[in-house]
Amino acid sequence: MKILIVEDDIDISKLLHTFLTDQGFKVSQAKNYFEAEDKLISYSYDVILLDIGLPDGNGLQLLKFLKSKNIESGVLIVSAKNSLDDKLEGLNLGADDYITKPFDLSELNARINALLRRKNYNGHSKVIFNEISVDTNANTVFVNNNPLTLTKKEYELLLYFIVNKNRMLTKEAIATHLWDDAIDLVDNFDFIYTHIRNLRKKIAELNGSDYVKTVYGMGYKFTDYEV
Amino acid sequence: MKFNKKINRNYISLILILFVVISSISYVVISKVILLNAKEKLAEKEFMIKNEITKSGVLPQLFPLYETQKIKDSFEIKSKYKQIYLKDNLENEVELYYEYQTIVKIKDTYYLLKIRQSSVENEDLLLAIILPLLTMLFLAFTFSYVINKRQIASVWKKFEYNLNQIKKISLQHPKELKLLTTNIDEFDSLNQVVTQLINKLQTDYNNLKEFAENASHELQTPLAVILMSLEEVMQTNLSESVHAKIYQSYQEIKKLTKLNKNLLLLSKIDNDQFTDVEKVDLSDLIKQKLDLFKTIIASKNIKVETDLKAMFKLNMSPFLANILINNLISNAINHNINKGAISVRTTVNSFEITNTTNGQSLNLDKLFKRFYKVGTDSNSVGLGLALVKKITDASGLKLQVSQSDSKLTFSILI
Repeated sequence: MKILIVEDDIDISKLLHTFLTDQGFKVSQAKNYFEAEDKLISYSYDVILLDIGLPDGNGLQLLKFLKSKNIESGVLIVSAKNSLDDKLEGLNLGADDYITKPFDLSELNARINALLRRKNYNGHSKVIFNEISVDTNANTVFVNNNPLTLTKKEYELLLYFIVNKNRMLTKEAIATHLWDDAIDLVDNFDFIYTHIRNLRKKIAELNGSDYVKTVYGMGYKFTDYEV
Repeated sequence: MKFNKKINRNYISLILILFVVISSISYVVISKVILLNAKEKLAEKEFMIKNEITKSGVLPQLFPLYETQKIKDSFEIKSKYKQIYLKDNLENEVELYYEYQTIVKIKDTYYLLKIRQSSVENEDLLLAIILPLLTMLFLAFTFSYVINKRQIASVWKKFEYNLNQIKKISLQHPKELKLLTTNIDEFDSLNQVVTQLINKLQTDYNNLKEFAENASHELQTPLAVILMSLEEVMQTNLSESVHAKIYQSYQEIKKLTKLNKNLLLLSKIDNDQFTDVEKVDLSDLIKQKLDLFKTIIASKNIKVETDLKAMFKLNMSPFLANILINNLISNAINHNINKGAISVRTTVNSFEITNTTNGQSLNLDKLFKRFYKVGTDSNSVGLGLALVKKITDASGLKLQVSQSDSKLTFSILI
């Protein structure tokens, strides 16, 4: 899977490059409109991470360029602004999703994966981790080929865990993923413990292994490595 | 009072006074003139009669105009001039006459002379002079009043137009200000000053808006870099104490992000940047948010009681409505006690949310101030309720708060 990062800030671009490469993507970078245009003409990418705040309004221009060339890549807009108008404008111009800086890398990862699944309707709709298999088209989960009934939040949580496997996920990141921005306002994130506990219990009931590991009171890690 | 009305009122009062004064003076003066004229005529008649008596010794009589009679001795006449009523034999009517009496001595004989003039004639004369005079005076005043009014009206029309143009000014939706020149120095001068002032205000506003937004956005990038770096560090194997410090830094950055976002929001609301007003169903929004937060509510064992049958719909920005309800409900959850309660009630033009508290008495005046925090909750940034107040103010809503027996109630009314 190939990703193009269009971002003018060097530090952010570097961090994103390292992270996404670790996640197994092939990553290219462009720091302005012209570099991006160059790369897009020569190569094709599965996902484009576009910083809409490129200087001189070039972010939007690139979006229009993509649309005009009918480029099929999934576009995830990265923006410093949390403006509803900007979001709508971006989505209207053909972007697939919108994420606001600063964000947790695990959240970015989840969004990119969701985008990929949407774009490749036929393939990549199954997310598998050992004996746990999630069909994102049908929204069903199987553990050892037995169907697992989950609530919406539990389903999203499981998906989030699998997509970010082997990565320490903070309580804040998990809560934000499940409840969006509304969660900003709630002071204490320990309530997510309930959802995690229920998920683990349900998986255990179908004889699935417990891959959820608690990390030092900061968060959780979904992994089959021994800690 | 309107300028025209005031000027006209003053003008008319003045005119009326002038009119009355001039009329009175004219009347008095002309009366006196006519009287003098009458006296002269009577004196002439006296002279003629004296001549007649001297020449021919005949006593002229022509009732009622003059009577003469011989008298033995001279005596003092009390009032030489007086008004008397006499019956005119010719016309068989009683009329008023102006009579002059005098005693003359001609060749050692005393004669009493009574000479008269018809008052009615004098009065007719008076009127014949006064009326045209006053009519012309009246016409002159009226004419000048009408002309004056017309001229003033045309100047004021332009002024009113300009006033309306100024009223329509909106810093959020700037349009070029076009004011009419009135050719009156004072007004044109005012136009110029106002235009300059508006331009300056617009520039300042734009600058401030830009500054607030730019500052906020500039902050996002370094915050993002720190956050992502910390997240990566947390993936590595470090000792528990180091991890704890890193995690704490991560949480503080999250807090900074929240602070930045909320401050920007406050500034945007201040600058009236949320003009997307629509019909919003708050009852529905409350239901949605309570559902969204149900896990959190359950984790604190809080009981929720609602009466949302009445639909509270109003016109406001949906974006702000979302934040308003979010913040009020979050506040009710965060400052609640374990096994506490929340109750929400709506009517067609209000809603009320109550939560149980730990009994601590709150300073209600300071509650909505920025950065006011209750308790030692380190995650609270202190802007939640400040935003609530700002939103209700900007949306034309009334916000009330009250506390009693460990319960805190917020009410929002139209």
